[in-house]
Amino acid sequence: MSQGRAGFAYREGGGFLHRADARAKLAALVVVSVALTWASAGATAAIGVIAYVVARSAGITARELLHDIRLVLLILVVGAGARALSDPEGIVAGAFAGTVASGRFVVIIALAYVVSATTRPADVRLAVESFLSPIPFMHEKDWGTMFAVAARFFPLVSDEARRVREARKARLGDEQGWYTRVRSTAFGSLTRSFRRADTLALAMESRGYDSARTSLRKLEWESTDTALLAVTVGVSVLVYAL
Amino acid sequence: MIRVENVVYGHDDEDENEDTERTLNGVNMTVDEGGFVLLLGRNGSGKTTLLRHLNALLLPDEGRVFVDGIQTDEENGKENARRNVGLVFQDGASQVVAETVRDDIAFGPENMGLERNEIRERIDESARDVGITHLLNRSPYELSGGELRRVALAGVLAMHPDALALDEPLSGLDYEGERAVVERIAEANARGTTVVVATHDAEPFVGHAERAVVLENGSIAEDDTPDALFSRGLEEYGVRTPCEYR
Repeated sequence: MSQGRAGFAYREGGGFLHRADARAKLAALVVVSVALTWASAGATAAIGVIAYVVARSAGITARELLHDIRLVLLILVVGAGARALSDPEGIVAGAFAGTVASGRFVVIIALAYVVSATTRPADVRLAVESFLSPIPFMHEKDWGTMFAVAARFFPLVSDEARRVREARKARLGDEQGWYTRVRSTAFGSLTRSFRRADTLALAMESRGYDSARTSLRKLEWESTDTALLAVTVGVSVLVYAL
Repeated sequence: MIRVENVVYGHDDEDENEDTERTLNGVNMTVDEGGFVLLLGRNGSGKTTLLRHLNALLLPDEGRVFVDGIQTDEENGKENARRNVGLVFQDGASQVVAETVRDDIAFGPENMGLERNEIRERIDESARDVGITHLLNRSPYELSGGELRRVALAGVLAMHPDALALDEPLSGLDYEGERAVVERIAEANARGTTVVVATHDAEPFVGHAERAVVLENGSIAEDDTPDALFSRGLEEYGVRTPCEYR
């Protein structure tokens, strides 16, 4: 009864990104995301190509990526369309601006997908704790756990949506109109996700969850992590400058 | 030792007809150290609710639950119950909290504040005990129902609990999976771990359990040795009589 791979879930691997320190990956993601906010169309496309190469090196195919983020893509396409229709400079300029803005989001989401697929939630927790520990009055252990649970929960939501879709299809749900299909899938997924979140919390509690916990894993910063961050910062500066 | 004293749960203060709302209705039960007890009864009889009280996942509305002499709703009572009574959920998949089997087994020992080396030793030991050493680096998403059930069992065994509370540990398993899980539970019991199993199918546990408690509408209807209970049949409580007693 294999449940199959869920989108955004961590996948075992031994490549460069899998070995990289979670702090380096998260910091790089933040730096690139900020740089993309100002990126031109050309720079966004260039980062998109780099993101694709990085994804491939982590064993993620374009097909898997597009499949797992298709709902976000749909929302972005609608957003770009709305921008095209409402832009005071005309439909062509609006479509262009909307496509570039959506493209930036797609690239950021793709990179987040890669980080999520190559970083264990336990390492995400340690990285967040490490980032927040210098800040006074910040309960870094609780924040770390929150991020780790979110990283764990995202694939669960996607898994629930898949189950609801399959259950619907099995009873000729594809014969229904698109509105009914979307509504039933969204409602079913949401309900099941809440239930799953509740069970996840119970499972953590039943094993004595304590924010003052130790960790099996330890983050170790290597020279390659410094290199990864340096290259990311360099590329981001270029993106900003272009 | 686990002691359940007059536990009532699910009572609605607003409801005039109190009894209809109770999931547990004055349950008294003692489980001796090293014992093996079956909790039997039809769906909705209160088995899962009672099991969750043993691990302090639920606290009684009335009455008291003691784990090793400490009341679960007193200070440190929850922590004590969760360390000493390992609860295995009915659905193995819902118990998994991490992205790899290794990280999931580590979750309990991490909460206990153990050092890294000790956690590693416990992961290896519990994975070996339930025969999942080869799965340690795998994602739980890739595992079968039987494998997930064993991962869930390893996750609580790694906490070295004094007692195991297992909710329908065999549901959805094939014959081999069933046999493997029953063997692991029996081995843990042979090593001195107290075992409480909630199930509606007692057959695989006959020969291992020394006592069976039957729940009906949130109350204990029968409490005796499996031999005595199955000899007279428990169909009236929705429990199938094992083959050797038919």
